[in-house]
Amino acid sequence: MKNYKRLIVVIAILIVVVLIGTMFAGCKKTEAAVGGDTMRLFIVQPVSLDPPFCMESEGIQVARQIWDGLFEYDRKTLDLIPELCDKWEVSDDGLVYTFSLKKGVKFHDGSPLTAEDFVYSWTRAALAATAAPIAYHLGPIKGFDACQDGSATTLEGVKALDAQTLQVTLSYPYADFVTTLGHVVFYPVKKADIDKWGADYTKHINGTGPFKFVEWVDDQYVKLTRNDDYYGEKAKLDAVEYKIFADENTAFLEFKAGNLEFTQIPIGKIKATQDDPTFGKYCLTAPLLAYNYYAMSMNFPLFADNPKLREALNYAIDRENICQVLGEGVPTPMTGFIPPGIPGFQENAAPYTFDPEKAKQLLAEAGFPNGEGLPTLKFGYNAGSGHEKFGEAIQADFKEIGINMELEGYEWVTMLDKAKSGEITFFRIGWGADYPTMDNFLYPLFYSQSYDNYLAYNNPEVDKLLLEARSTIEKDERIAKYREVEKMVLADNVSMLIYFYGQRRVIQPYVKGFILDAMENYDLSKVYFEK
Amino acid sequence: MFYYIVRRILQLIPVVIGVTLILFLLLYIIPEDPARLILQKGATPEALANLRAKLGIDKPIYVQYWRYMKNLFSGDLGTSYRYQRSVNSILAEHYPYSIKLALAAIIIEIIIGIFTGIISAVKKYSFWDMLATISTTLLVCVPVYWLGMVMQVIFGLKLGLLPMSGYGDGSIRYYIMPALALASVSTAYVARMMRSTMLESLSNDYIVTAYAKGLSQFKVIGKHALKNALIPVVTLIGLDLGSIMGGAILTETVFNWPGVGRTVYLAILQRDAPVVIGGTIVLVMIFVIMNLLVDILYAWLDPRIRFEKKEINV
Repeated sequence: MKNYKRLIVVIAILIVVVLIGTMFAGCKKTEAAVGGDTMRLFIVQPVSLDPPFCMESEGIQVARQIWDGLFEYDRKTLDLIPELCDKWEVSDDGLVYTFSLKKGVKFHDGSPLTAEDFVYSWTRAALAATAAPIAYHLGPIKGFDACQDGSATTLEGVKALDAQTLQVTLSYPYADFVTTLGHVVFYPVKKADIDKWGADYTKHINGTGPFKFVEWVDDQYVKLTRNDDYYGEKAKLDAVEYKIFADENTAFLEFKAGNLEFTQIPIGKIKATQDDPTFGKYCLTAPLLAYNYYAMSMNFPLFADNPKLREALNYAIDRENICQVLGEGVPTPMTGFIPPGIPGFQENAAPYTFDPEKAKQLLAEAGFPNGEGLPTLKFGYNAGSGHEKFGEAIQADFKEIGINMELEGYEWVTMLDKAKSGEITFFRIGWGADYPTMDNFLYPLFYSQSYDNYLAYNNPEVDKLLLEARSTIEKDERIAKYREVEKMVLADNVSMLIYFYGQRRVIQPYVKGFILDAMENYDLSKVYFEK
Repeated sequence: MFYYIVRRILQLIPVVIGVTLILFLLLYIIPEDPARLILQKGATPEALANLRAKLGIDKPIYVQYWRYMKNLFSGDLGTSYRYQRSVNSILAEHYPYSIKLALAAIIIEIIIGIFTGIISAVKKYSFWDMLATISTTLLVCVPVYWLGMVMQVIFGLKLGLLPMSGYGDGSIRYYIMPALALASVSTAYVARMMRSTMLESLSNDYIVTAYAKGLSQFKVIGKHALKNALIPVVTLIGLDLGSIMGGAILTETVFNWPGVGRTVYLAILQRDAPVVIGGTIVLVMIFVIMNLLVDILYAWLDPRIRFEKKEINV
């Protein structure tokens, strides 16, 4: 009996410990929001909020509310808008840019923003020791390569002429440079903050934007509050709470229960949400500046020597069916390498339709009538990311015209490495915008020396025209050149175009002033509730 | 007893060395380069080299291992590749949540599991026994993920009785659904084991004697049968704390619980070796310590069990 009592004592102690622990010793108590309207948004755990480490959309979404950059993009048109910059000039040779900063801008800790902050921030991002994963955006700035190879400790091309004037010198003319400055990597941080916090700066953010950072608790939330000392128009919301979820299904349930204002619609629930009487009108499913395509490597003689085969594959697939049935109507058939929304987009730039007869004819012209003599195409994709079903649908389309395709799943990086080395020659890949420019979709993918050119595509004429376009200051002339590049690349049929990605988001009906742009960015300072 | 405890704690050293070595080798032979995983675009050779140098993965594996072990014995679990923050601080943020949830689940497991097992054994082949058998079988079969979602929809979305996810303000209502989901399978096992050990205990002669002495059923079960039936159940429950903490990934994901299971799982997907190894080492230590506590509790519960040699030989 004595021992039995002891067990009861042990159990009772456990219960008491847990009860006390749960009730009074919460690991991190949720702090009350700052009164009034708080916008609650779904995100997954960001990697970092420190600008040079904001390498994924989650961190970028949050950072854009905390900081202002030299430039921002108009959420409806994606046009460039000066933000921290009053005016700017570019030299005749297109190499030297001079930016005049707005006066009266302060960091959230009250210290003034100066040109030196930009010099420090950009140098920090470029240095080898920082190893910033998105440092490549600073590539055109003079001295970047020296910073990367460790031979320089300052970024030669960035200078503060005075407290309000920033001068940037490029290594080569790059007309879209100013547009790239809307990217988060160019946001200014304070040297004193980095010196104080080091790697922990990401949890002690000090920005310049309409919302101030309050707290980030891993896997729970990131809280922001309105910056009442903001130099521009103050935000209408009192606070913002990014709720961190690992599973979009759970977030969606919370949204339906009214605990979130903005979330992602899980795959498989898009149609039902669009038909929902309450939320149907508030689904956001516009195309994104991103696409999914199947690359045919020029390292593979079968593809390199058979342009008709490459063309045939593009006519053999039913993109509409893929988008409507498998993609629940969210993606849209890819019609070129420049997505809709980018200035310079060409409607139906690619001629491809779903035409099995034409595909068969082209296949015969390529020397493979009804697929005879054509080896089985081994297709690589990153397994476990939902790409299998699309691959299988295309496999079935190919079968109809006599082409055999085998699906081979890989880990993402393994696939990229094998594609780079030429070991995999037919594979699925995607690309999304860093900034809304044609260059961002053409130079990285098709310039022969670009590290992101996984196609091993090498067309000297395309290279020449790309470099010309990059150095053309006049906008219309530049766009005309990029359009020509797109036509040349499409004429070479180097990839199977699959689909443009689409948004699958939903907001609560009472949220007003929320505009989600085609890069999935938004400005919460304009948002208000109408309940 | 003191020497036994010291010996058991010292045994942790080879265990930790073994675990780190195995994990290091496993993570090393996977061909995925963590630097390449981080640098999705613009992965120039210089950028990759800079990142590898910063992460410390530019050195041969034995150098990396030696450096890791040196830091480990000074209490430094390294820096996360992906988040570039101290693993100590990442784990310190997540482990308390996992421990609390596991304790809550264990309490449910103890109360419901033992009670169900006793009723089932005492009322053998009755309606209650069949109900318990069917329920425990169902609980073992039903995926935790599905059970969690169903509870969320019913008690959270439809009835609005409980919060659907997260840790919130840390009050008990946030624990109920995740703890029940997490405890579901273990509770079923405890109930089944309790039933069988209780049945075995009830079939002993001393129980017949106890009844013959005219003791009430409550006294016979509580005083004579239960304490003998409990010993294997206590072992199961003790060991379960470690498994519950390690296996809470699904529960933590469905209920958005900020625990360590989900963190380590994501780190595995992201090849974030320092987080995987650090998280596993802490888990192993918890597991070994729980084992030790169970053994000590064992001796405390049953005076016949002692760890000193002379007493074992008695």
